Amino acid sequence: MSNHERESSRTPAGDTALNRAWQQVSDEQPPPALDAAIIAAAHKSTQGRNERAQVIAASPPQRSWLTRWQPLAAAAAVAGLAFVLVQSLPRDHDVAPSMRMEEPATAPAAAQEKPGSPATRESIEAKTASPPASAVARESVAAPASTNDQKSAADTVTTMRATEVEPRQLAAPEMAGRISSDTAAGAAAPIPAPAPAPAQTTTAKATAARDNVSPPDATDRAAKVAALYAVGDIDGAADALREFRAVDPGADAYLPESLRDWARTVE
Amino acid sequence: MRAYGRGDARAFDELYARHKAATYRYFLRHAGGDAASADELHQDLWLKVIGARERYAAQAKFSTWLYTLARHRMVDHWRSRHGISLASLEDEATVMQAEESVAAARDGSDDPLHATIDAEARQRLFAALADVPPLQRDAFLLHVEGGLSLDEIAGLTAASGETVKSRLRYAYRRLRAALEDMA
Repeated sequence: MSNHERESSRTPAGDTALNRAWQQVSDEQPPPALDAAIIAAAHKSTQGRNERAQVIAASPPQRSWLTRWQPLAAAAAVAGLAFVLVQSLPRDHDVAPSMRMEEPATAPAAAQEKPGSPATRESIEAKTASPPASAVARESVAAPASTNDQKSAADTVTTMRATEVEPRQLAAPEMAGRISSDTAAGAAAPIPAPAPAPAQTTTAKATAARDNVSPPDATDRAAKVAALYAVGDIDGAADALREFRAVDPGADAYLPESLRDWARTVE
Repeated sequence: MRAYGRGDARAFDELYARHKAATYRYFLRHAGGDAASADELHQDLWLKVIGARERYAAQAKFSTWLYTLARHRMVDHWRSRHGISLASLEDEATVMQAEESVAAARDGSDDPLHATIDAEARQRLFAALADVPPLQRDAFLLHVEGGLSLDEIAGLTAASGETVKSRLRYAYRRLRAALEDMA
């Protein structure tokens, strides 16, 4: 459809004759040379564009510096952040180091033993007779454990220790009290104790060395009875009391006040 | 045009073959038959089209866009040759000035078609069109040669539809009068 044909269909009514006449006379065309020049310019422009497009397509895609190093930079940033966080967190050894010094070396074993069993009695007797130096030393510097459940026996031993016993004789009763406390309380958590002073540690070692060579005396025997009674081994305590009476008829006087009523029942 | 913008040279060939005669005659009629001016204007127009191939956005018909460029080029031509703009040609005085300029250009034309047997009819018709004020002639050429509708012409020339219709009516009346004289 030529422009003239299109024009005919759109021309206002009554002008078809004019349009026909116009089509007859208006038929000029641009010179062929001009056409060729314009088309050549169009093709040249397109060739230049296509050549640029081919050059762009042939060249390998270049990744930017940021794209190339971005993963490495991100990893380094994460590592640095983690290091800073780790450095800023509190260390374990910075938090209450004394709590780990108090290890329940004998408490779990004693707690597992059944009260009144032969093993318990032998253990108490062995420890009462010759407590190890290390245990005595540790006990001499550690605060005595005390809970509401341990009140009777522990208080008994502690009172006796404070009033009647010489410093060199402290080890056995205190160990017995410690054993009875641990046994009664089960696997109670150890209570933090203050760090020992060097002078106290030296004194405790000397006391332990002397106790290793001295036989059990009346105080030890009384402590043994009290310990057995405290752990519930009434028969054992009665046997020990009888042995004590055999050696010393005035054995009941060495017993704590709380055990004297019971001692009167033992024949 | 989009295909040409993507680098398809054949698309331009087809585009040019479809529109080249109309755009050439649009310039030729506005130039009063001055073939040299028409050649220059025609070449400038299509070089603009070539240069704008990558910026072309199909917001309207290609012909509307094409004749917008053609009209801008024509306005520049009028301004440079006659010192007047197309928009000021509604004024009676400037109309007379423009018609004198067109008549002078027409007298100097050596179009070989003028020597044919239809020379008289052609002369009368072209002379009648040359007598039409430029804005009315522009509307007529956009409508007849460019194939644009009234609305497209109105949009292209920033005039109302009624104004375009009035311009066309005036141009047709003048040309019809010329044909009746021939008869």
